[in-house]
Amino acid sequence: MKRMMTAVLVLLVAAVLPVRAEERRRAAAPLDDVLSIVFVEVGSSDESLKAAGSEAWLDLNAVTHEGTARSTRLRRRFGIRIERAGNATAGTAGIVARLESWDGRATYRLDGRSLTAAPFIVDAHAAVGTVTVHTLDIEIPIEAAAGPLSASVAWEVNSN
Amino acid sequence: MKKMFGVSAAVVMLAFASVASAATSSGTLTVTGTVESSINLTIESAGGTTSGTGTAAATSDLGNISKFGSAPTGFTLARGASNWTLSSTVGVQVDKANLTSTDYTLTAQLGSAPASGVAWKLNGSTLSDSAATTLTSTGTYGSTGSYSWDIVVADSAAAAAIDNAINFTATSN
Repeated sequence: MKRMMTAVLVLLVAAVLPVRAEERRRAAAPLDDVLSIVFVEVGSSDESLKAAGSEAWLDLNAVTHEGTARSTRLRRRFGIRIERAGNATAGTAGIVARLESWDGRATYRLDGRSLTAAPFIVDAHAAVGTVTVHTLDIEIPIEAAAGPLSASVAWEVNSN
Repeated sequence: MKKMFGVSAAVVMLAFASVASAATSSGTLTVTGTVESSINLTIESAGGTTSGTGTAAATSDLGNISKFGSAPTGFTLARGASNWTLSSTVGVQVDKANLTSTDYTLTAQLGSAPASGVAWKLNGSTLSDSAATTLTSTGTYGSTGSYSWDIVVADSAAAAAIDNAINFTATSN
């Protein structure tokens, strides 16, 4: 009897804990619940954003201060769509963003809220399959040294 | 035996817990660009009826001027033996952004040759349309520098328009 139970246990463990990480991920998220984040360009006039699936690049090119304000302010809009495997559009997902890296020359605000290294909830219930438009404000004080501007914003979507 | 069932149950629960965990996906938005140094010159004040102050292109209208008439707004009139001088000031401000420079050089040059018998002076130096005149080589950013502005008209000068432009150029040191 003990041998049988041991065999049952071994089978259970083998079934539940796949050897490879890839298999583990498949087990963790059923196929129809696999989410992906997709960046979408919005506004035909803004050619500085290039989106390719879950990656997007915003090239501000040369930023030169104008006027007498104490800082240079730039605003860019972009869209995010959450996709679910199988083109399913039902349900919602949470979107979280954080500043993964930055050079210190500029400060960043997403939808009016300061972006820092601490994750913040951009949208707790974003509809799957729908494009939501977000605004990124970049502010460069006139005291900041000239040089390359570089920042990376990490995004994460979690199924609700 | 009971203990074995207990362990089995725990393993089964673990399995369900794993399957039910939330799906997660991530993305990255990369921002790049180059912050460039810049300076900005504005005309803050000038004699005459002035428009465009606070910008880099101000206009000053002196109206009709004559030796024995009254001085235009913002000017004083001094009559000499063979000439007369209208005197005022020009306020120029230079602001900097994303620049480590601590001061600047400001020059001025006439946009066109002055009318015969008319001399334009800034800070006591006669301006020409062929070469720039240095007004300061240690200008302070963010504050308005005031420069004396004189227009000297010879009595022999023909009655005519004296229109001209003073082109200021600031260069960071």
